[in-house]
Amino acid sequence: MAKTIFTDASDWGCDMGGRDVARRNTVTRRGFMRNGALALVGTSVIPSFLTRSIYAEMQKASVNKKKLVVVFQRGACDGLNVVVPYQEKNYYTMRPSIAIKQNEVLDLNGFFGLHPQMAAFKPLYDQGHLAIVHAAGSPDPSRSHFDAQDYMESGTPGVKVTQDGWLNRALQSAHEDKPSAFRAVALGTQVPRTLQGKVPAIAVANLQDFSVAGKGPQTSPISNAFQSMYDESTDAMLHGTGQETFEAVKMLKAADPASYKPAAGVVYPNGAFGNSLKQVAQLMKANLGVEAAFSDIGGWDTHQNQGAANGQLANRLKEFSESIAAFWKDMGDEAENITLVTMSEFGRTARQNGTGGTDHGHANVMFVLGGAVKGGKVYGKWPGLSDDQLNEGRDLKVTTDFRNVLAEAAYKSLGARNLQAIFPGAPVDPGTFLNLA
Amino acid sequence: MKIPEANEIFGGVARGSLMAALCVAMVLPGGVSAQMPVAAHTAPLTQQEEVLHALNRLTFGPRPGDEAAVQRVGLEAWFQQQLHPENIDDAALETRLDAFPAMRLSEEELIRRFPPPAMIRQLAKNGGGTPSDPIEHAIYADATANYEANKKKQEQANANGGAADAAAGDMALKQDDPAAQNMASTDAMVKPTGDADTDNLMQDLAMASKDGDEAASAKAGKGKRAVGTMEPSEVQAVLRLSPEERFGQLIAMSPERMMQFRASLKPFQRVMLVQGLTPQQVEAVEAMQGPARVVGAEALESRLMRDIYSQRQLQAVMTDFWLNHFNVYVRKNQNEPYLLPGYLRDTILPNSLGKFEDLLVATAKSPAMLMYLDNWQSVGPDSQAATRVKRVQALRPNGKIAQALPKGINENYARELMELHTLGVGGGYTQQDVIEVAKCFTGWTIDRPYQVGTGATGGFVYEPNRHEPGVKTVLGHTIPEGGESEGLAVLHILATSPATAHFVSQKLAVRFVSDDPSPALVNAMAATFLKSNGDIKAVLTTMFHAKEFWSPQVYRAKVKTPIEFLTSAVRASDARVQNPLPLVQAMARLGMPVYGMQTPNGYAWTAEGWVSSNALISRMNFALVLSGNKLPGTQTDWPALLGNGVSVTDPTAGTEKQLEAMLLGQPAAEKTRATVMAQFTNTGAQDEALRSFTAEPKGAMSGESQMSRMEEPGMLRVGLGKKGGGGGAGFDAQPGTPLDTMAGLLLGSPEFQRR
Repeated sequence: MAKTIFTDASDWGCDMGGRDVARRNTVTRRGFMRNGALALVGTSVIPSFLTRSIYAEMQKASVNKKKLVVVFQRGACDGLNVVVPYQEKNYYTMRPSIAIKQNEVLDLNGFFGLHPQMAAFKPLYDQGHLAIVHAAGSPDPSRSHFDAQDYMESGTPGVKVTQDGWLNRALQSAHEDKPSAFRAVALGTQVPRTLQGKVPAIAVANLQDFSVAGKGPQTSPISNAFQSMYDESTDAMLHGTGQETFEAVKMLKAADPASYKPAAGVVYPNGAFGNSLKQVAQLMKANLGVEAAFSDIGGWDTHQNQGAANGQLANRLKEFSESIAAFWKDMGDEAENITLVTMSEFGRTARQNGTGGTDHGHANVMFVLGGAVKGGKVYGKWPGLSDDQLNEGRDLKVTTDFRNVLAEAAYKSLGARNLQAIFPGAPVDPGTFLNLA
Repeated sequence: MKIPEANEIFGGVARGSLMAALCVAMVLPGGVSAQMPVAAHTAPLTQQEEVLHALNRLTFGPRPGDEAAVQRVGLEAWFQQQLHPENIDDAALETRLDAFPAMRLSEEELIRRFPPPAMIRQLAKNGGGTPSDPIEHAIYADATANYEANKKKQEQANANGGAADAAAGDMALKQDDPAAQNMASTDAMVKPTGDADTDNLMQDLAMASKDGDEAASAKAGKGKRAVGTMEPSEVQAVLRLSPEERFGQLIAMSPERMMQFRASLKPFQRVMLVQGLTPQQVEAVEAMQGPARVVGAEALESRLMRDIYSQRQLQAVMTDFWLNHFNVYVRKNQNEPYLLPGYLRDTILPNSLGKFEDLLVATAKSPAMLMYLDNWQSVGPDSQAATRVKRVQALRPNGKIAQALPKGINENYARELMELHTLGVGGGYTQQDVIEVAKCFTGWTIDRPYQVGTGATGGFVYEPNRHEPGVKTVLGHTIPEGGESEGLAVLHILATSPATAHFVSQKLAVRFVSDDPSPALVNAMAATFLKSNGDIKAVLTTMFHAKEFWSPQVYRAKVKTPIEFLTSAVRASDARVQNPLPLVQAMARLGMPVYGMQTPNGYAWTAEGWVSSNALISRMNFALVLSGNKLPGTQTDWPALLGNGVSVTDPTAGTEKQLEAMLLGQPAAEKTRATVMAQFTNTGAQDEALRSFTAEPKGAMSGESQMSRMEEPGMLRVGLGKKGGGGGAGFDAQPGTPLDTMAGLLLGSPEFQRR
C-alpha cells in the first residue's frame, strides 16, 4: 500500500543496503552474489523414519560446536561516536555539535566510553564477555562503500578478483566430514559475499515461513511445476542442484526452529536486525549444525544530521546493541560456545562536516563478544586524535588490521588453522593476535 | 545432475505449500551453475530472431503484434523511429496518465495541494491560514484532524504503558509489516531524543501509516470508540448522490464527520465513493485522508504505466536506465516523494536520449538529487552564510538554531557523482578531488524547500552566499572562482572524460547486450561517446550496429530484472491495467521496489542478484496471479488473445504451442512444455500462487506485506476505486481456468525469464 512508501525516514544519504529496513532484504547489493537458483520446493510431511535419521544427523553436527556469528554494519559506522575517546580534547574540538559529552558516555576504562544508547552492551563488557578493538580497519585507503565492503567481505583489501569470501574460506580450512546444510547461514534473501565460496552456504529470509508451510494440508501444484521446470532446465543460470536444498528443507521441517521462542525475559527489538539475530538463535538452538552465521544492519551512512547522544545514529546504536544483547541472553548457556564479531567498511571523518554529519573516513571500532572472549577491555593501539595523528589529516588511523581480528576469531572459534588461505598475504598469524580469547 | 523428485524423497507425500521453497537460496559450490553453458545458441540469428532480439532488448518486451509491426517497417527504420520519440504518437499513454493529474504539477503546486506531513504538523501546532480554495481547505482540515486524532491516540497508547499487551492484535498486524515494524521501532527510539525534526518526521510517518489502518481497525470495532460511526442510511445517502453532489458533500463535511463517514464505509462502498468523479476529484478525496500518500503512490504508479504503455519504448527503457544510474530513493525523507514527479518528467525523460552532459547537469540541479545526496545543505566553510552562522554561534554557543544550521561542506554528492555517475570508482580521482568538487557545488541548493506562501518554487537555486570562495583544483584542472559556473565546469570535465565515456558505455552494454560485454564493443561505444560529445543516440546507434549486439552468444542471454519481467509479462499478455498499484506492490515483492533502492549505486543489471530460488518462485507466483486475473485492476483476456476455438476449460496441446509462440516467441524447452501440459489442469495453482505471493516471507521485504494487505479491502482504497475500479473491489473469487494456468506457467517458465 502506498502508505508504506513513507515509513522509512532514514535521512542519511547514500545509505548502504543493510537489512535494517526490511525492504532492503530484497535488494541486491552491488557485489558478487551468486546464487544457485535451487528449486527448493514444498514438502511438508516427513516420514518419521526420516525424521529420526535427520535428528541423528543433527545431534552429530552439533556436538560441542563452537559457532561464529559475523555482523556487518553496512554504510560505515561512525566508530568515534560508538566507543568514544572522551579524554581526547581534540575529539570535542573537531565535533562541536555531535560529540558525546563526557558526562554522557558510559565509561569503560577512564579513557573510552560507550555511546549512551548502548547501555545494553555495558553489562556484557563489565562481565568480561565483550571485547572492543578500536582503530581497526583496512589497509586499503578506499572511501567507496562498495569497494571497501567488498574488500572486507572477500578478506583481500585492494584485490578485486577474489571470488570467494573470507568466512567461507575459514570454513574450508576447518573441514568437516559430513557438514550440515546449515553449516554456513546468512539471514536474508541472498548469500552475502562474506559467505560465498566452495562451502555451501544458505540464505534464510524467514524461518517462520518454514513452519507455516508445514501446516498446509494441500498439495502444491506450483511447487511441482516449479521444481520440474527449473531443476531440469537446460538453462544453467536458472537451474540448480537441489540436493543440499532438499536436505535443508528436511532438516528445517524436522527441527521446526521457529518453535524456539526467545528465553524468558528476552525481547528482541522490533526491526529486521533483531529479527535476524532471533532467527540465528532459533537455528542454533534447533541444533541444525550452524557453525557460521552472518547478518547485517544498515543505516550508518550519517552524512547529515547524525545527532549526538540522541538522534539518528543514537537510534541505530540502540537497535544494534539491544539486538546483540538480546541474542546473547537468548542463547543462555549456549552462549559459551559463541563468538560474535562486528565490522563496518570504514569509519567516518574525525571532524564533523558542514551538515551535522560525518563523511567517509578510515579506522573504526570492532566488537568481539563471546564465551571464551577476554572481554572488559579495549584492545588495539590507540593512535590518538590530535591533528597531526590523523590519517590524511582527517580520520582515525588504522592500527589493527581487521583481518587480524577476524583471523583470531576464526582460529579460536571455528578452529581454522590455515590463516594464509583465509587471508592471503595478510600479516596475520597466531603471533600477531591481540589475544582476545 | 539428476534431482530426485520431491515425492521420491518424501515417500510420495510431497505436500504442503511452496512456502518452504521460498526462503532458502543456496550458493552452489564453486560457482558450478554459472559456468555451465547457457542453452547454447550458435547459428546466426534468423530474421525473426533479430526482430525479437531488438524488441527484447530495446523495449519492455514485445506485445502481441509488435513483431509483425517491426517486420512491416523494417528493423533499421523501427530503431530510428525509437531513437526519435518526438515523432511517435503517445497520446494513448497520455490519456492513461490523465488519471494522475498530480504528476503534472510543479513541486510548488504539489506541496500546496498535497501538504506534506511537516506542514500539517505546523498547522496543527500553530494554527494559521488554510487555503481559501474549498477543496484544498478540506484537504488541509481533514489532514490536520487526522494528525491530531492520531496524535491523541498515540498519547493514550503511551500513557497506557503496556501498549504491547493492550494492542496485541495491532502488534501482530505490525509484525507482518516490516516497514511498519521498522517505523514503529524507530518511532519508539526517537521518542526520548528531543531531536525535533526526526521526532516529528517519525510521528508523521507513524500517522500516515496508522491512518491507513483506520478502516481496518474500525471494522474490528476499535475505531468506533475513537471516532464514532455514521448510520448506514446516511452513508448510503451520500453514495447515492450524483458525482458532483457527492463530491460537494465530501468537501463540505467537517473533519469529524468525515472520519466517521470513512469509518462507516463498507469495503464495496469505497468504489462507489469515487465512481464518476474526475481524476482531480478522486485525488482530492484520497488527499483528504493522506495527502502525502497520493503523491508517493502516483509517482510510482505512473512510472510503471509509462514503462508498460508508452509507444516510445526506447525512451521509456532509457528513462528507466537513467533513473537507476542517477538513483534516488523515495524514502530518503518525507519530502523526497514530492520531488519524484519532476525528476522523471523534467530531469530524466527529456534528456534520456540527448546529450549526457545535459542529463548530468539536469540531475545535478534536480531537487530530487540535491536532496537525496545532501548537497542542498552543503555550505562553503568560508562562505558568507557559514561566517554568519559562526558569528551567531560565537555569541550564543548553546543556541540550538545556529548549531543546527549547516556551515560546511558535505562530500556525499561529490563522491557519488564521480564514483557512480561519471568516472567510475577506478576513474582516477582522489579524496582531495572529492573535497574540491564538493566546494564547487556549494550553493547549489533547493529554493527554500517545503514552505508554502513564501514564494519559494521548491526548485533549484544557486545561493551565492553559501558558495565557498576561491580557486579550486579538480582532477588537475584549475577552476577559477566563478560561483555557479564552477559546478558547471566540473560537470563538463566529468562529462567529457574518457573514463566517463567508458563507464557509461560499459553500463549501457551490460543493460542492452550482455552481462559480460566484449571490451571491443564497449570501446567502440566509448569512442562514439567521446567523438559525439556524449550523444546518447549516437552511442546506442553504435551499439545497435555492432556485430556483438547481434551475436548468437548474446541471444536470450540476459536474465530479466524484476522490472523487465513484470512489464514484459503484462505486455506479452496484453493485460489491461486500470489500477497499477498492485503492480507497484508486486515490484516490491519481486525484490525491486520502484524508487526503492536506498543506496546510490542503483539496482544491478546483471543476473547474479536476481536468480535465487526465492526470486524465481516469486516470479512463478506472480505469473499465475497475473494470468488468472487475481491481481486487482489488471485484466488479461486469453480467449480474446488466442482467437476463435480456444477452450478455456480444456485447452489443447495446440493451444499450448500457440501460447508458447505468443509469449516466448519461440518453442519452449521439452521439459517446460511437458510440465505445462502436466500441470495446467491444476487450477488451484492461482489461488496457491496468490496465497504465497501475498503472504510469503514476512520480515524479508516490505513488498509482500504490501501485497498481503491487498486482501484487506481497506488497503485498496487509494488504488482501487480510483482508476475506474475495473478490477472489482478485491480479488476475483472465481477459480482460475486451465487456460489461465497454462499461460501463467509459461510466463513463469525459465524461458520467459530471459530476454
